[in-house]
Amino acid sequence: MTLQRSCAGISGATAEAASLTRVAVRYVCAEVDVVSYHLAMSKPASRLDIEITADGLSVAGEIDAHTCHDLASALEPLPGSGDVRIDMAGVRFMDSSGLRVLIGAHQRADAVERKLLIERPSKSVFRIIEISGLADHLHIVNPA
Amino acid sequence: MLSDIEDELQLEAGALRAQLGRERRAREHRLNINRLGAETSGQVTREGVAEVLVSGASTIFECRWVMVAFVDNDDVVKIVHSPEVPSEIVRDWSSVPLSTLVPITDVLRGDRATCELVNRSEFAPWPDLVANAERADCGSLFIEPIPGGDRPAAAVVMAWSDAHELDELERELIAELIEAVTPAFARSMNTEVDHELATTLQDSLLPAHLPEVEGLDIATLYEAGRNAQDVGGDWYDVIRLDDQRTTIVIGDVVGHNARAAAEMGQVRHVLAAHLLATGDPSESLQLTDQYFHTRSLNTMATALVMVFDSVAATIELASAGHLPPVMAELGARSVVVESGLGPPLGSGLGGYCSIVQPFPQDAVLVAFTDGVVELRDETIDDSVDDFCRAVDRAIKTAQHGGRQQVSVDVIVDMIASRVADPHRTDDAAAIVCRNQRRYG
Repeated sequence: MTLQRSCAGISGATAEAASLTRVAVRYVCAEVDVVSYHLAMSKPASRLDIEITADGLSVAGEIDAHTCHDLASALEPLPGSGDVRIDMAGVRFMDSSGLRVLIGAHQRADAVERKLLIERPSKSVFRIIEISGLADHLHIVNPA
Repeated sequence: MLSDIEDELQLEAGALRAQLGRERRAREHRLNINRLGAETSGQVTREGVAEVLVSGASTIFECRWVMVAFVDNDDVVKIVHSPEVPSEIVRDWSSVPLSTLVPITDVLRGDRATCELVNRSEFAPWPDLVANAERADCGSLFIEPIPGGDRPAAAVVMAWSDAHELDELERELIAELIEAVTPAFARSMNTEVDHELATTLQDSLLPAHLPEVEGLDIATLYEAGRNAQDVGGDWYDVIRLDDQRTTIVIGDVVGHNARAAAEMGQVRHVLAAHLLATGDPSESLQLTDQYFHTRSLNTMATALVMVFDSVAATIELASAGHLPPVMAELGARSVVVESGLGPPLGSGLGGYCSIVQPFPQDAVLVAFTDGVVELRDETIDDSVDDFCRAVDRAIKTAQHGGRQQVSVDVIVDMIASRVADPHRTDDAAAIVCRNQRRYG
């Protein structure tokens, strides 16, 4: 009888241990949650990625009032020593603040007899350039 | 003996489980507080930050209600609160001068570090609170300031139905909560100041009154962007050249904030002066482009200049990189009007031209800035096309199937409701004209 009760007790304790383990696992999970959350928040996803290439830049993302400064500093001073190629295939959106940066760089390149080549703009970015009266002024290469 | 071990194990397990449960809840609360802090960083006004704080604090603390109060520029108390806050409290505490005798004002003025009223007997200094406490189901109050500059940026209020004294964990959580939202309050206070400055400048630099032009019915709209960094730069103008010709201008200075608003004032007047002097849209754009290119390297603006000739019933259009206008003629679908197109002003690239288009009796011309149409997920052509259809719908609704003239206000009202979209951030301007002259 006693033995039986004790066995039941031990199995009860085992069950407790198991449930404790589950609690502990959840606890650790919550901890991991906090850590991963902090990691995610500490580095906000950049909306504009700029990569330096052999003869210019490769740009991807959105160019607007909040991100155009990054593009401006990548083009000041102009990279390399010959023509500057900006691969814009990955740019989903560009507004007038992006155009201002491109025009400024275009003018600076022009002044030292270099060319700023805007390569592979998407259809929507190319339309923004066109509608802004810049298609005949900027050097556009292979628009989509 | 085994049963002793069993009892001990059970006991220890129970204690451990309770402890783990408490710690897990505290962890969850801390996770929520972190999330809340991150969420507030996306807010640009104290009201926005307060809303996030109220909804977050309501889930973290098991209290009756939560409120966040702050003081506006006129020293009036503004509150954001959970739905449970009784109307008596809202009435007594909201939109009252900072000098009002309610517990919240002591903390907001900075006279009291915290205000902890653990039971109703401590409400005595505030007779209104004593009178309302029963009906307001309020047994204890805890008010903690959120640090700001000279005085607190805001204060968070928590109320319990019964007498309640904060335990150690609650105190820790409140301190952590306040620490998490303090940067957002500080930032939003700064952007509120910037926003106010830019809005004031913008308003003072837009024309206060438009000239009366015979034969032209004109309505305008300017709506500042919602975020502080998105105010300023858009403008419109109407300049009479002579008895027959009037120039209508719309433009958008690249950039935002007080600087863009100030530059807008410059571009608007330089362009208007050249238009008055030359009477020629493309020449005026050329001169203005050169002016800013040589004097102010960073200023860049798009502009659309339209010269209405009331006798010829035409409009001469020259654009410096600006979106083309839309024209709606009676009984026809509205269309984009082709303009002479050149680069933005200040680029120094030059090369402007103009095109003369018919502007018949009762036709409506709608010129606008990209804040009216710009949505990131569409190409600009689709956005402008959507806008044309919106113009058509507004006209159709106003006409109720009849063929009567359409007031320009109908179009402006439609644009106003479009730009009220909370997802829109950019500022927006529009000028709408109807040729109301009667021809033969």
